[in-house]
Amino acid sequence: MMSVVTRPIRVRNAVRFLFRGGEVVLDRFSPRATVLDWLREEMRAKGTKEGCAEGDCGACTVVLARLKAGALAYEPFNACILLLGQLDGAELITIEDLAKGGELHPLQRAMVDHHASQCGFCTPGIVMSLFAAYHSGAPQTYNALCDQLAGNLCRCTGYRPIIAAALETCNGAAGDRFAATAGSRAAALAALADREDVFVGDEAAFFAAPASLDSLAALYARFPDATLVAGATDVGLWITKQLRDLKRIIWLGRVAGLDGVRPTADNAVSLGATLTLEDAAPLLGAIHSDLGELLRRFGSKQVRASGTVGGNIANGSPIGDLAPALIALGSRVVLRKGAKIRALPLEDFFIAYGKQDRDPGEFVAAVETPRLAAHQHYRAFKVSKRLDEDISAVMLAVRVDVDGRRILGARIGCGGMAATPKRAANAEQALIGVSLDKQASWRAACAALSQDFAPLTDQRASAAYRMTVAANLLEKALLEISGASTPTRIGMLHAAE
Amino acid sequence: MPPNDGADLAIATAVVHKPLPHDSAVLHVQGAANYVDDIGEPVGTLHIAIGMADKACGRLKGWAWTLCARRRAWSSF
Repeated sequence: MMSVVTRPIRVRNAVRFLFRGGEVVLDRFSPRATVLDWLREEMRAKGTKEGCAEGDCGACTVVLARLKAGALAYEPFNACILLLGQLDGAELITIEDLAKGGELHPLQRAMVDHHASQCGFCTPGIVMSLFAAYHSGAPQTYNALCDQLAGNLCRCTGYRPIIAAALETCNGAAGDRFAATAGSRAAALAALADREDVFVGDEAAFFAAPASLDSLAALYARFPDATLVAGATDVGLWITKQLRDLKRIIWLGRVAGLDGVRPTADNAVSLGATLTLEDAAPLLGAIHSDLGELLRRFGSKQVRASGTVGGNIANGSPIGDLAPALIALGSRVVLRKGAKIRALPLEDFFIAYGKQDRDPGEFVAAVETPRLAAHQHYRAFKVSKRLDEDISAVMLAVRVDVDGRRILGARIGCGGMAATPKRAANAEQALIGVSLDKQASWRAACAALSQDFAPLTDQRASAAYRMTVAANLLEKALLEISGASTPTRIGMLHAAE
Repeated sequence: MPPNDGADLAIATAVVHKPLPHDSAVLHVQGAANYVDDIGEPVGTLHIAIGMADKACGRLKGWAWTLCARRRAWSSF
């Protein structure tokens, strides 16, 4: 039996956040309560709309202002799948907060002037997403605004007038009353920050937010059946779509150091489990530009602000995009249970559909991702029906190690091709010793993918389509790595026209 | 009948070929436009779930009792 040494800790039995200029203290709420339900049902604040209730449409977008590296950071969130307890330590800003005394916020004024609403249902969410961009501290470009709005579906107005309103307003110099009060609001947030463990409820039903790794380890060892929540971008759907009655929730968002980024002894980069996808994007993009592009298309701004590296891995989804991308890089997952820490190759973590190599009471602590050496080439491709904010039909990532023009070995990670994120062992084997100069010799590896995978037919793609796409993606990667001048990217095709 | 003078014509075409803001735009952008989902339900609102029969013309027998049982179950919530 492993024993966990517990130390006396201070516990706060309420969550606290800023809202409408005051501090809200909640010491009794359902652990599965969402921010959207709290706003609409408890506060009777109906400006934030419920569209899809699964974090896709963005009609419920709210903004959380939080202190990041000492400065106020404004990020958009889908209130429908954000748990109420996750507001702890943040300022919640909703659509009702923007206008003051009958005077519209500059963004709202521009949206009206540009005729940027028609049915108007998505409009509050769009204004809030743009409000986050307005406070980003940088002038917004057309492309940046398209990314900003990828998680806000408008199906009648059209985005042209919306983006025109945003381009006119989001110039990098916020001049609204939020900018004017930034100092006092930052001070109020700093005053809320403490290092106490949060525990609201009782042993039967609780929302807990431990403040340290030791507290988390001890709490999870005591309640191994509790649901660990990082960003809630999937757990939120268990609540809104599967109506699961989650009674014990441990939120990881307050655990100090769990979002840390560190170099490892062997020069890999260790990404803490609760590092958000938004914050991980530049780090992964620095390893390879395809990872940067993958992260740009990962969910939406709202999903990336909430979702985490560890959550995407621990979830074990066969269509999570991070796992295949990181498996190809040769990443390791670091697990902790009580005081015991172990690491294993990421691909070995995924055992079967919905089953990971994770003991009761054990949690994902970090993912260690090697960088690329000079003789290693990498490509990652995501194929989905919609370019932005969509689930992959096929995700394929490959690392090819070469000696001159000869392939020494390869690591191929695939998503959407099996019940788990999986390596393509046969295709990898078929690439060993192959020359980059002989395109015909790659075909055996592309064909071998059919021995590695027997994909499903579902609403996203047929099995045959998936198989063809995977083989073509591998060939595309090899074509690019070989240095062939054949256009393989949409941008290259446009440039050639 | 032709317009009797230029003034009438100007009034009649005052809104033609000119962009006009949406009547509700100022409400939309503030989240202040009221949609059906935003209107509070009166206490005791009856919810109706529709069950479809697989016969276009038939006689309702025991099934009606099941329906009543379900109704009781709901009202006990």
